[in-house]
Amino acid sequence: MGRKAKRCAGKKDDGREEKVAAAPAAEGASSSSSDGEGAGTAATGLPMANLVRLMRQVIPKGVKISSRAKDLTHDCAVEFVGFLAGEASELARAQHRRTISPEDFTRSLQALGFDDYVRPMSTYISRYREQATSPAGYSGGFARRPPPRATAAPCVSDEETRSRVPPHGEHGDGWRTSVNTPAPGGHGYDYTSPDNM
Amino acid sequence: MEPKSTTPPPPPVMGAPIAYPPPPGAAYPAGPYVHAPAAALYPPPPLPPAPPSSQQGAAAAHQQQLFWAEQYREIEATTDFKNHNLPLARIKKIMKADEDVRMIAAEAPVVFSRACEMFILELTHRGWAHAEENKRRTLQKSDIAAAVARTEVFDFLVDIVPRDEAKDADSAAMGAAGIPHPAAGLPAADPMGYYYVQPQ
Repeated sequence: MGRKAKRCAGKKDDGREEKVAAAPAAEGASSSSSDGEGAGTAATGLPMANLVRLMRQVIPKGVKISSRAKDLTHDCAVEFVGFLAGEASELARAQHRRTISPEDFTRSLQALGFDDYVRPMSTYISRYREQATSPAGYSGGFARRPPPRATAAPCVSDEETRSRVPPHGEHGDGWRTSVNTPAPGGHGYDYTSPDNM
Repeated sequence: MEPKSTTPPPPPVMGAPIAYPPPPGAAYPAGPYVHAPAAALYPPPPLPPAPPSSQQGAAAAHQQQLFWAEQYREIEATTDFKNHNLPLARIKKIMKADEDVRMIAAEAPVVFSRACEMFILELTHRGWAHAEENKRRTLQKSDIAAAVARTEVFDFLVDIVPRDEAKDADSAAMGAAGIPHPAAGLPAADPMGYYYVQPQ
């Protein structure tokens, strides 16, 4: 009963099923328009082809799905999203936040009794964030770049600082002389002293 | 001296209740008492787990476990987070339809989309189980309605499912449960219910 095809096979199968489902989807669309709910459904609904493709993943091949079953499943799915969004919004507001985060979503799942969904969705969120932060996975669309870290300025040695600093007249000369030639440096200092006097 | 003399009396009083338990304990090992509890235990179990319903329930529970194990494996195996079965823009619009929902994090529609996929898969899976019980190869609206009626966590969908479909689903569910009173009434009211009675 479960899904036997792997990911790749699933994709191929989806392709074929999509073509087959095209007609039913069109029929669904026509019936919707005839009912007068087409505009509303199109504006706030989900693509019927995607919905039918998902439904076929859990039923055996050869099983048919009536148009009314598709429509009812679609309405239930839309209600599901709205229901969870409302609960997640309340949870966010309770914590004085205006933005609904994925954590609010998992908490709303638990609060509303969808226990089976909590673990898969928590794993999904973690995996999604991992690929979003990794350079290879970054696509610029949904992922957010982590803020660049400030790098410390490189440390310069005292000697380099001295060499970089321009000499200040006689004092600088004296300093340099003293560094270059220790013995004459002492004499130079003595020489400078009389000059000052 | 007096407090010490008053201490002895309490122990004997405490001893009295201690003495009582042994006799019943001794009686329990006895043959007739051993059978009595077994007899007492027998009545409750048979009623809820009627043979056919228990088998169906066990099978259904097992199928559900397989379903969720499969879902978790798929989540684990997900490596491409850019291609979604459901368009994120549509999901976001549905979320925004609620006036209370104002700001949504960029990551939220992605997880909502995935959860919505799982919901559709679960609803279809349960609906197909109902279709199989009726020996049908076409998934009908009543199958989806039955799945909603049978699953407590789907109570928020009561307004979405038409009353007629819900009643039909309820009668079917009750028929599956093996409740005699509804079964008696079902043949006249609902041919599907009559069909349910035969297996029992």
